[in-house]
Amino acid sequence: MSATSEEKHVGKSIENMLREIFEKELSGDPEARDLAMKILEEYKSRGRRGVKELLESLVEQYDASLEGA
Amino acid sequence: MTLLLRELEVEGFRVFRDPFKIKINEGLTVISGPVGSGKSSIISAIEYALYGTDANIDKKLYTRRDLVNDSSETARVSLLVEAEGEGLYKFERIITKSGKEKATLVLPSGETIQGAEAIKGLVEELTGLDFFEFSRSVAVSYVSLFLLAYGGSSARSNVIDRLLGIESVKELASSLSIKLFENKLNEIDSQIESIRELFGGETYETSGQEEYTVVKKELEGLKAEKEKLENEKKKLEPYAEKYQQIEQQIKGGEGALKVLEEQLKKGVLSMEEITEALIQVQEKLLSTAEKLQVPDSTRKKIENIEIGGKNLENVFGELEAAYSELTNIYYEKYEALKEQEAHLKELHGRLRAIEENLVNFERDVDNYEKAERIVEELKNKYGDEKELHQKIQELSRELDELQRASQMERYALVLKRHVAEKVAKNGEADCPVCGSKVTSEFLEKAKLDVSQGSKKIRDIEEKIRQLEERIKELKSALEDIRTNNLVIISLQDRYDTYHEMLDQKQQLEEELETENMEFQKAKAALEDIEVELKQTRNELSRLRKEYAKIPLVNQAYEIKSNLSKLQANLSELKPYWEKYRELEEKIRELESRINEKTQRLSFLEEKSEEIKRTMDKLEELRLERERIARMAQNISRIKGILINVHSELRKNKIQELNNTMNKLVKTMYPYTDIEEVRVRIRTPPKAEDRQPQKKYSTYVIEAKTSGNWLPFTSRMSDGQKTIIFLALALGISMLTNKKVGFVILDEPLPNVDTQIKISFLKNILPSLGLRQAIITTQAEDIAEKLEGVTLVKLKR
Repeated sequence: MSATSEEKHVGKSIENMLREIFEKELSGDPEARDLAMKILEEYKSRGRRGVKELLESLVEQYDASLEGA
Repeated sequence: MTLLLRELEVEGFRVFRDPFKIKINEGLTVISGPVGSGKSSIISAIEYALYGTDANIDKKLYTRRDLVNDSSETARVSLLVEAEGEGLYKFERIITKSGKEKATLVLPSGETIQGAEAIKGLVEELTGLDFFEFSRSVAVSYVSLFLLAYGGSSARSNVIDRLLGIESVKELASSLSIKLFENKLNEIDSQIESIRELFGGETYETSGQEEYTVVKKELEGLKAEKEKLENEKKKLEPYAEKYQQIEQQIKGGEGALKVLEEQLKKGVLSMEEITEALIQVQEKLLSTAEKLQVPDSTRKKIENIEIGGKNLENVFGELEAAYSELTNIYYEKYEALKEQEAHLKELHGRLRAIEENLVNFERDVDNYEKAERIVEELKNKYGDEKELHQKIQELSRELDELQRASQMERYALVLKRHVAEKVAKNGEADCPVCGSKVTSEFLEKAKLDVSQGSKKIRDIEEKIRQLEERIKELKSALEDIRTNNLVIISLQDRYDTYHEMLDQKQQLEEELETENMEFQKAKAALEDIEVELKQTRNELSRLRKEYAKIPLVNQAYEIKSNLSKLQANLSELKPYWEKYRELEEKIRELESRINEKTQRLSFLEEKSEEIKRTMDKLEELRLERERIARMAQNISRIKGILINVHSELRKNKIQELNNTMNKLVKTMYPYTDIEEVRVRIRTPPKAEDRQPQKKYSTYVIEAKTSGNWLPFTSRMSDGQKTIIFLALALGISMLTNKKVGFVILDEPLPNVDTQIKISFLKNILPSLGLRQAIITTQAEDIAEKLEGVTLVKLKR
């Protein structure tokens, strides 16, 4: 994506800081930590909409697995 | 290294259709002009030249294509930037109306970099800011200031967050919706509840299992009982088979007896009666043989049949043979009669043919007879042809003579008249015949002669006429005779043939009459014989049937006797048979019950499978519920962390911000009524133990006047508010920006007095520690009064 068209939703310094905090706060819960990182990544590139869709896809995993079955 | 602006050139960019260039010096550059003159376009051009976007594109208020002037096909922006210690960087971007862009960067070394992506990296390195950071720390717009001053507390907090670069933390936290998970959990709970309601839960499963065990046991018991009964039944099978066999025999016997009794119902003739009847048949056959005029041998054969013997079967045979022989003879006679009949038909045919032929001859015969009659009549009247011919010749000669005489008479008469006329004239004349002299005496005589001669001529002519008529009549008769004779001659053969045929016809008629009489007689005789033969045949047939009945009586007796024996046997076998039937019935009942139980078992098995599937489904839903709940918990936890981080960030930033802000207020604001300003964090109550934080902190902006801290909204004028929030925005800029030596302010002081504006413009750069400030304003009169200010005046 070019610099002119890219939508950046979080500054680099804040992003790094959040990563460090998640690592520290959620070190005893890898599942929660991974989820937090995934959310941060999604927010960085796609903002609120990206996070919303990610959460929806997480909720819908069950339905998809049922359909697959 | 400090980054400074040096020169901006635009063409076809936003309001600038024509080429426009400004040099940007150290110090303050004020861009003034009326609304729509292009003040904001210059700020937009600087942002676009560096980052390929501007604040409005970033806020999605318009697109990059809208940067191109309405009257131009392309927009071009060129910006010269100096990095102290390095040299000049020249940024150039050209964009078309279709949005196609060409970006170029010429480095201080003269090297040219092409492409937006490569330039982006270098710009961020030079400024130490991405566009996100540049737009909140270098290019401060009045929109931000307006929201700070006049927005609600929440909007204000968001703007401050944005300026501080921490609003993304809050936005990220608020985007983590727990509601989504709660809804899903409710949905799963509802599914679990409805499944439980539908299937009655585990109780049903247990009761179904119990029933299954009971039914299975019952089924096994029934099958064992059935097997036992079937063994018993097997032992009785030979008796049952025998019983059924006898029953079948009795049924057959009764049927046969019924038929026999039906046959014997009309009575039976005795042997004597049959013998007597057969004798009559023999006599009848003899009578028929007589009529048929059979050979003696045949007749004797019939006479020799001995009917009195014991074996009537032979007698029947002999009589039937005799009957057959007579029948054959009858048929021979019958064939002869048919031949006779055919001959009669032939004779009739011939007669009809002659009659038809006679009709054809009749006309000629009539003509012949008519001619013959005419000739006969003419002969009778005039004589035959020869005589008639002679008469005509005679009369013709006589006619010739009369005609000559008449002619002579006429000549003489003419001569006498001639002489007489000469005498009368001359008194005399020479006779032209004899030459002698004729005188007047001759006249008298001549008169008399003429008169007599005329009379004579008339008489002769009368005779001639009569003679001619007679000749004509005779000639006509002769002609008729000859004509009719010709007819007779020409029709003579046909006339003779006709009469021959008449003779033949007569002969045939006589022959037919005789033959027909004989035929009718023979036919009548044969018809009588046929009747007799039929009667004989019927009688023989009847007697045969009667004869055949005699053994039936014995047969019926035998059947009855046999049936009695069978009935006795059947009675003996009946207890076994009844037992057998009873067992059969019981087995059938058992089979029916086994069937019912099997079906029930099958149903319970299916139900059990269904319950299992439901349990699996419930387990699946339970696991999913756990997963969603766990995820909701995680999301909630992450959200809590983010909210806490956000609050901490606010706290950390706020002290430094407050110091900078007060410094700015003191240098920019020339009055003393505002003693101090601060941004305070209002923290929500702490969440319960181990519960994630759900509420956000907010900023409270306060001003100290007369020694009291008051919310900025109390007693503050719009101008004071503007100063406070401009200080806040610039304070935030100072916290963020470390490399860029300039600030861009778009209409920063819309509603303050001249003193404040002058103070602000004088002190902005020293207060911020920056070397360049580009400010757009409509207050060009104030800018003109200040020294060291570059004023760029724009016109519409």
